[in-house]
Order: sequence, then structure tokens, then C-alpha cells
Amino acid sequence: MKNNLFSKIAVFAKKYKVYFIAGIVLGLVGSLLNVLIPNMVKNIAALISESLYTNAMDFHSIRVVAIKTAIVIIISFITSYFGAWCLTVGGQNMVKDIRSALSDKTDHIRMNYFDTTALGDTVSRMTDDCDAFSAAISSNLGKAIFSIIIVLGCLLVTFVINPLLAFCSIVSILLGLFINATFAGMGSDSIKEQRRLLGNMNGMINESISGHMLIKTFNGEEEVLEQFDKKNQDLSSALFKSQFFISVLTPFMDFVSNFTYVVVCLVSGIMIIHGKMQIETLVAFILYIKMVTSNLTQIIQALGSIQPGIACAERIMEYLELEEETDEGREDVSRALGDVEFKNVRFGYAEGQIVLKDFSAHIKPGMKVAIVGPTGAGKSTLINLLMRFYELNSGSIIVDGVSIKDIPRSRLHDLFAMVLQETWTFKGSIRENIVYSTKDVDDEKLNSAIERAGIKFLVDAMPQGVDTVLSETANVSSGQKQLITIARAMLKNAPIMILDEATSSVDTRTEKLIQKAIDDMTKGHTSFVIAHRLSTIKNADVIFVLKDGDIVETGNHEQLLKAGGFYSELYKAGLDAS
Amino acid sequence: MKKIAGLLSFKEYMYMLICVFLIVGQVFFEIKIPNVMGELTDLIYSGNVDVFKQISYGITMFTYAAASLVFSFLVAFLVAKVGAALDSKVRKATFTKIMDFSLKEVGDFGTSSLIARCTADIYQIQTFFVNGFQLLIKSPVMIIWVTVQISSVNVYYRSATITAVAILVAVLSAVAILVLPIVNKAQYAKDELIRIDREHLDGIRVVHAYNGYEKQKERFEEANERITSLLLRYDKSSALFAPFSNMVMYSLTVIIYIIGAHIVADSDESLRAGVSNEMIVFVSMLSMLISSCIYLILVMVLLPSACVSFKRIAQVLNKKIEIIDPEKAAAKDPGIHGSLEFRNVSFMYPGSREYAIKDISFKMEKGETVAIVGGTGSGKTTLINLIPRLYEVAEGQILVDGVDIKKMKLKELRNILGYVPQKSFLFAGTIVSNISFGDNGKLKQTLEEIVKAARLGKADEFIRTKQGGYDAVVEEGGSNFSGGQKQRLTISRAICRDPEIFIFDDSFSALDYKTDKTVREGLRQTLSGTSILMVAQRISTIKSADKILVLDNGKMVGMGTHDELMTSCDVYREIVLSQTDTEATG
Repeated sequence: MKNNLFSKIAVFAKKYKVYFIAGIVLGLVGSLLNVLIPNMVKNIAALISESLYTNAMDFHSIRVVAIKTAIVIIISFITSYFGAWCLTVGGQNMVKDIRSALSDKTDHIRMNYFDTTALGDTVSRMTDDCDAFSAAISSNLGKAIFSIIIVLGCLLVTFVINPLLAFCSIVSILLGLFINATFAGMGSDSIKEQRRLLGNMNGMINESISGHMLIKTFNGEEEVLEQFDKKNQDLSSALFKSQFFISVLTPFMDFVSNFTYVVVCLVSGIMIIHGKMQIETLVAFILYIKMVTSNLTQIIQALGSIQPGIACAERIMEYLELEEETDEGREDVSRALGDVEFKNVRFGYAEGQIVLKDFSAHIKPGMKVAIVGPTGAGKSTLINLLMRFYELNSGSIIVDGVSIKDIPRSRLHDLFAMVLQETWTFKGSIRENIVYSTKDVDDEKLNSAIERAGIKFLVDAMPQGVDTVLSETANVSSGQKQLITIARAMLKNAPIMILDEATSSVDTRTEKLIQKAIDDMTKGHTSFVIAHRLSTIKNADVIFVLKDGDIVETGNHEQLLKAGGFYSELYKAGLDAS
Repeated sequence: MKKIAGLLSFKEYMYMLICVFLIVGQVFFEIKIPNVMGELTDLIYSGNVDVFKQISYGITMFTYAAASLVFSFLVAFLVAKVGAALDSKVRKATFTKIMDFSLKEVGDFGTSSLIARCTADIYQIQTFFVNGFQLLIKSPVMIIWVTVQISSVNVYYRSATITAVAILVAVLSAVAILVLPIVNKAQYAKDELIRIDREHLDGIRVVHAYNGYEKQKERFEEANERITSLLLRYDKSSALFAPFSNMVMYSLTVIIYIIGAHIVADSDESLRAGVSNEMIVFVSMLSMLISSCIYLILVMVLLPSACVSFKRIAQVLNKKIEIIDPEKAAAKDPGIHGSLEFRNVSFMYPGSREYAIKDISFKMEKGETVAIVGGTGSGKTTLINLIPRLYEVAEGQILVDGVDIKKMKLKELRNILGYVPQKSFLFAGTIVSNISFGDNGKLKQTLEEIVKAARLGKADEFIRTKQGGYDAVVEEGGSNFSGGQKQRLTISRAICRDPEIFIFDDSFSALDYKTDKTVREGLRQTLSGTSILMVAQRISTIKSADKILVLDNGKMVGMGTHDELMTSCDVYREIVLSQTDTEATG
């Protein structure tokens, strides 16, 4: 699993391998030189001590050693800094690529994922997890690698010098590491628990801030705060545990270091007495032991940050490996006329909950199709299927003679211009929101779409006109937002138009004007309209009346009224009151 | 800053104080250990064969090490305790404050920025505390202790040391100060990135439908590029800290030795050994001094981002909330229920120069239904948002049950209202928790009352088909319900409050005509004493209202019954005609 994770990360690291390799090599040179410097400095001290016996200060030698040391110090500084620089550049760029990959992935994930996953959770994978991962690799991974190499080197040297002593010290270090690992094991469980609770907490904060207005108007503050308090307390105790385990690791390692020192001194003391060892060996030994333990501390500290980084990387990779929509279609629709056929379509969002049972219909090019029916009858579902947001359980949908499964997705989407029930605008200028992904738009086309969508007045009243930025605080009403999305669809001007409750928040006068503009535009184009306002659907060529996943009636307005069925019932409900 | 410091209790400050003492003790042992270590090494170097003496030194050292370990454990325990408390208290204070905000304050910050402040920024502060606190205490203790020890040495060493430390502190502080604005910018760039991600996920269907992948990518990459370049600038500068400190420390040691060589050579032969010893002791002290400085500076690396987070949270905590309870709430006449009056009300959005609604006056009595119609952007929602005081009226007065809403406790005011917003919003939880959401100043609703409300809201039938019925799970944002179902649940939620006044902001738009009609008729029959204020587009929905207000461009252009307005109000007639001319012919 872990190996697997590393190979997945390696895919992203590959592009910056020059930086990573250079960073590690430079960093390694830097830290090895750093190990050398204390010895060189000691040489100066030794020269001074010597003068106490020779009575002559050897300034020349001191100068030579000092200059050599200075050069090493400067080289060490430069290599260490540029090593870190390379790792940073490689690491940050790699994380940037990972962020892009996450964002790209969003466009390929199956739609059911978003139906069942909290938005906040996905956002936190794309941002917080990336940050934690980047922190783990950009500074700590390098540190850990240098330290591991130094430790291995030192151990090798100690074994060459004196195997028995090396063995003693390794046993004592291993003992320490074992206890430490037990601690870390306990800690890693609580770190996982803490991260889970934190994700949970953040999900709730997300929701409460988004639903702020409702909480206020329902006096729900206390209820929300009560839930919040419970979550916050759980998080706090998990945080305490994980924090405690993390911060005892370093002092514990110090203790191991001191303990090892005592062991080495005692063992070597005995060996020296028995004439099995030279004092000089001990001096060297102590130096190396110190180096080993201090680097082990570094490793453990780095691991403390790498561990959550790994957990985050797992979450990132989990998202990147979600099942994708298939896009195997290679056939093109040569004549985009707008001929649509539903053949025995059966579909449900979840297993065992069938929304459409056996839907069949043939829509000829240029027809205006209206879909009516009570709430939850499956009207929007039909549109979702036409756009291939979901896969059918059985049956097929054929557009201009080609099954939608055989058309590349982006080509299929090109055939449609749609306005959805839930208006979607983003922070950007009105122009950007309307043009969106449509190519080759000049001012003339843009202005005509603005005019036909009935927002010319709105745009003119804006301080920067069409370049005014739509933001959370800008006072554009929901109806106006809907009109902006209609302008977006008008500008796209695709063979098939889909309007799912597109004018529900627009007042009827404006709607009527827009309706006329849409009718003009869709002349010769196929269009699908879902609406509750019967005025919108009356002049449709064919009306499908949906109820409980089946078409219960088909026909035009007059025919359906005459039939006196479900449609006429719905229609009368609207008419009665008016 | 003060505000955040004030969040911690006396107990936690005591913990911190105890920590300080423990750390001093720990420093004591830490300094002792090398001493004993040195003596033990000397003993072995000198060829002393006394094994017992060796063992006794070993035991002493072991004891010191163990004591230091125990102290460290205690410090770790206390720091983790205080850190966890700090984290949960700051989060609670921030969250509670945000819950107190009105829409204006939320708008001032932006939703995603508030979310980031309440999550990532708090995490940042907590991390800084647990990593920084110990170093912030330990390093000065070490520095002071060492400084006292070396204050007696000769002036050359001292001036060299002071110069080096000064250079170190100056360069690194300069870097830290330069880095601060970058961190600040990076935090805001992150807010931006989060917003774009949220928008992308929110509009995923539109992105697909328009093949908007490239456009989305373009927007995302711009933000991604920006944050990466900021983080790179930050990392490149802060990568300087460790190597630079090392360089200064080693250079200083070399300089001290060179000075030392001259001093030793110049001094009297009999004094040379002593002078040389003094030099060696000084250098060993020096490494402690410098490493303490380095630790202190390491804290500096963490400091800028913690500072920015601190500031961002303080901004939230210090934000003045404009809509608050009145100091003295006016007494409400218990005899009046469900009346609403607007007296010359005008309102302007913050940052806007035009009135969103201007000079609106009308009155609604108990049990009446008042409908508001008007063109897109004519100020209908604005007018409605003023009633629960989501925004503050700029001019004029709104009276609920005869009392100016500014003189009423917010809770009391909102208990009177049953509000259904334009955009349905469900909370993660169950159907029951959603319908019974909130507090209406009465006892928590029983399941019976909840079912009754769901029946009236026409939600009962589809709830029963859901797995688990009333205990069916609602995902975040209600993503497992259709648009119409969500709307019916939010209507049921308002009914469940048993309010005096219903406020419907175009709340029937996702319902078919039949359901729309049944819900309204049900309300009128069962809750005849409850007033209803509603925004609606459909003439069929509003026709039977006792009073209809016609808004146009924020101004009221007509008020009366359907029949009155048909003769007196051009705008109204146009609206009606736009709906009925085609329908009537059918």
C-alpha cells in the first residue's frame, strides 16, 4: 500500500527529478561538510594547545587551517542553501501539478460521486491536504533523507573501528528506537483519528457558514452551537493525544542518546583497562555516536511532519483514483439536426430506486418538447441522461442516428445549450460569465445575447457595464442571475436547447419577452423545456406528461386537454386560481 | 491579540507558568549532563582504572538524563493540554462570532474566506503554539544563563560574539519582515483558490454542458500559478535561515580561535594554559548560545504565517456586528399577533450608490395574506430580508406586532417569523433534524408535530417512500433530494416553527401548480390565524391575496387587491396579461 503510494507520488515527482536529485546531492554535500567543520575547527584548537608545549605559536599553520575552514564554511552554506532551494522549487511545482491534476480530475469523475459526497470534504482534499503534503515534502523529506544517509555512514564507520562497541551502541539505540516506535504507533492512530475529526469539524463549519442566513432566521444558533461544541470537544481531546505523542518523541530520543553514551563509556572503560582498546578510539566513537543520535532525532522530527503528509497524500490519491466517466465514443455526428430518440430507457440513481421505468420517445428535428409532471417525477433526470451525466441501466438514447455512448462526450455537449434549474455564476465579470467557454465571441454577438436575454438594462446600470465583476456581495438578484445564464446559453447557440426551469425566478413579463427570443432562436432547432408555468409550454409541439417514472400522456396542448387526463388536471390547477 | 489571549482561562495560564518552571529545570539538567559527561570522559582519558567510580558517574548521568526526560514529558503534557484548549477555544469563539454576524458582515468577508479563517487559520495558530511555545521559553533561558556565564571573559571575545549575534539577528529578522507580506498575500491567494474549487464543484454540470473545462482550467491555473509563486518566494527566503545561522556560528568560532591564538601568544608564559582553557570553555558556551539563537530564529520562520492567521482571526473577532439586540427591548403588546408594517422604508446595499428599495409603506394584519410581485431585480427579496433583520433598514421603520424591529430582541423577532428562502438549503442530518431545525421559543417539536408540518408542506408522501422514512439521511447540501423535494422540506420546516407570520420568498417556484395550490390551501385552512407575506411570480398563486404590492425598480407602484390593481396599475396588468392571455385562450 505504502510502496504503491510512493510510486504514485513518483509519477508527479518525475517531471522535476532534476531539481530533486540536485537538491538531494547538494544538500548531502552541505550536510557532510557540516560534519567536517567541527573537526577542522578542532584542528585550530589543537594548534593553539600545541603552542603551550612548543612555546611558539604557529600562526602560519593556523592561518592555513582557518582559511581552509572558511572556504568549507562558505561552500557548505552555498550548497545547503541551493540544495534547499532546489527541493523547494521541485516540491512546490510538483504540488502545483498535483493541484492541477485534482482540478482536472473533477471534470472526469462520475456524477454520482458529487451526489453523495460533501463539497467541503472534496475542497479540503484539493487545498488543505495539498498544503500538508507540500509542507511534508518541501522541507522535511530532504532532512530525513540526509539524516538517514549520515546515520548509515556513521554506523558503517563505527563497525570498521570497533565491532563490539558498535554492536553495544546499536543494541542500545535499537532498544530506544523500539520504545519510540511503540509510542509513535500509538501516536499515529491518534493522529489519524484527529485528522478524521478535523475533517468532520471543517465539514460542519463549511455547512454552517454557507447556511448562515437560515440558521439566523430559525434561531438555530443554539442548536448548531451545541453540535459544534460536541464535535469541538472530541477534536480537542484527540488533538491533545496526538500532540502529546508527537512532542515526547524528541526528549525521548535525547534520553536514548545519553543512555547510549553511558553504555559506550562504561564498556570502553572496561575494555581500555583490559588493554583491548585505545583511548583515541573512544574519542572518535563518542563523536560518531553523537552524530548518529542527533540525526536520529532529526529523522524522528521529520517523520512527525511526514506522517500526516502521507495521510494527506493518501486522500489525494484516493480522489485521483476515483472511477471516471467512460468516454470511449469515437463516432461523430456529421449532421447535427437535433433528432433525439429515447429507446426503452430505464434508470435509477441508486440501486433498487428506479426513477425512469421504460421511457421511449422520438423527437424529430426542430420540435419543441415540453416535459411536465409533478415534483420528483423524473423530469430533470431525463435531461441528465440526455447529457450523459449518468449511465443508463438499460435502453439507449440516440442523437442524430448515433447512440450517445458512441459520441465523444465533449462533442455530445457541443450539441446542447442548456440552462439548469440551479443557476451557476462565478466570481468574474458579467462578460466572462456570459461568454464562458464559447469561442470567437465579438462584442456584437455578446450585445445581441445580452439584449435578447433581457439584461441590457441591468448591464447598463452596472458601474463598469459588462465588465462589472459578479461577486457574493454584488446585488444581482437570483432572477438576474438566471437571465445571465440564459444569455450564456443563447450565445452558445447549439443545435439542441435545454431549459430546465430556466425562468422560474424571472418575472412573467420578462419571461415572456425572453420566451419570444428563445422561440425565435430555436426555430429549426430542437428544444426541451421543463417548466411549471403552463404559458411556457403551451405552444410546444409535443408535451410529455411524466408521473412516477413513466410517460402517462403524450400529445400537444389541445389533444391533452381534450383527453381530460392528468395534464388537464394540472392545467386546471393553474387556471383555477388565475 | 488581546481578545485571543483573553480566551484562555486561569488554569491554562497556570499550566503555562508551571511549564516555564519545568523548562528552567530541564535546562539545568541539560547543562549538567555535558559536565558529567566531560568528567566521565576525562576519567577514562586519564587511564583511571576505578570501575566503581566510572559506574557512579554513569549512574549520575543516567539519573540526570532520566530527570530531564520526566521534565520533558511533563512539559509535553502541559503544552499539549494548553494547545488543545487554545485550539478549541479560538475555534469556538470564531465560530460563535460568525454565527452572530448579519448578512452584511458575512458579505464583507466572503463565505469562503470565513470558512478558511475558521479552519486553516486556526490550525496554523495551534501548530505555532505547540511548536513554538517551548522554544520561546527555553531559548531565552539558555541565552540568559550562558550570557551570565561568559560576561566575565575578555572584551575581544565579547565584542566578536555580540557582532556575530547582531549580524545573525539583523539578517534573519530582515528576512522574516520581508517574508511577512508574502505570507499575507499567500493566505489570500489560498482563499481565492478555495473559492475557485468550490465554484467548480458547485457548477460541475454546467462545466460539462458547456465543455467549460478549458475556461475552468484557465481560471484555476491562474490562481494556482499565483499561490505557487508566492509560496516559492516564501520558501526560498526562509530556506536561508538554517544555513545562514550555521555559517555565522562556525565563522564566529574560527574568529574566536584566531583572536585566542593572538591572546595566548601575547600573554605571559605562566598564564598561557589558563588563557587557552578560558578560550576553550568560551567556545563550548558559544555553541550553546548560538544554538539557542538558532532555535529562537526557527520560531521566527513559523512566526509570519502564524501572525497573519492571528490577524485574520482577530479581524473576525473584532468585527463590529451592526445588527444586535437593543439595549432595552420594548415590551410587546401580548394582544397583537401576526401584524407587520413598513413605514417609508428605504435600503441601499453596502458599497452601492443606488437604493435597492425606496420609500415602501404597507400594512399587514393578523391572518392576512400579502403578496409581492414585480420584475426581476425589483427588490422583492431585499424587502423580505429586511424583516428578520438580516440587513438593517437605512431609513424608515419596520414594525412587527406593533413594535419597531430594531427595538425587539432578535430571537423574539425571529420566533414570530417562519421564513422560506428562495434557494432551498438543507443541513446534513436526518429529515427530522431538518424539519425541526432551530428554536421557536417553545418546546422542541414532537414527531407528531413534525409529521403534521410535513403533511401540510406536502412532503409527507415522498418522505415515506425514502429508506428510513423520517429518519432518512440528508447529505450535506441535501444532494440526495430533487429540487422540488428540497423546497417542500424547507416549507415544512417553516410550518413546523408554528410562526405568527410566514415569509415565502418565491418558495413555490419548483412546485407544480397542483402542489403549489394544495400547500397554500392547506395553510389557509389549518392555520387561518397566521399571516402570510409572499413573493411569487405566478398570478394564480397571488390572486387570492388580501393585498398585493407591485414593485418596480425598488419603488412601490401599486397596492391593492387583484381586481383593484387590474384597473389601477399598469405594471400589474402587464404582469397578469403576460400570464393569462395565452392561458385563457386554452
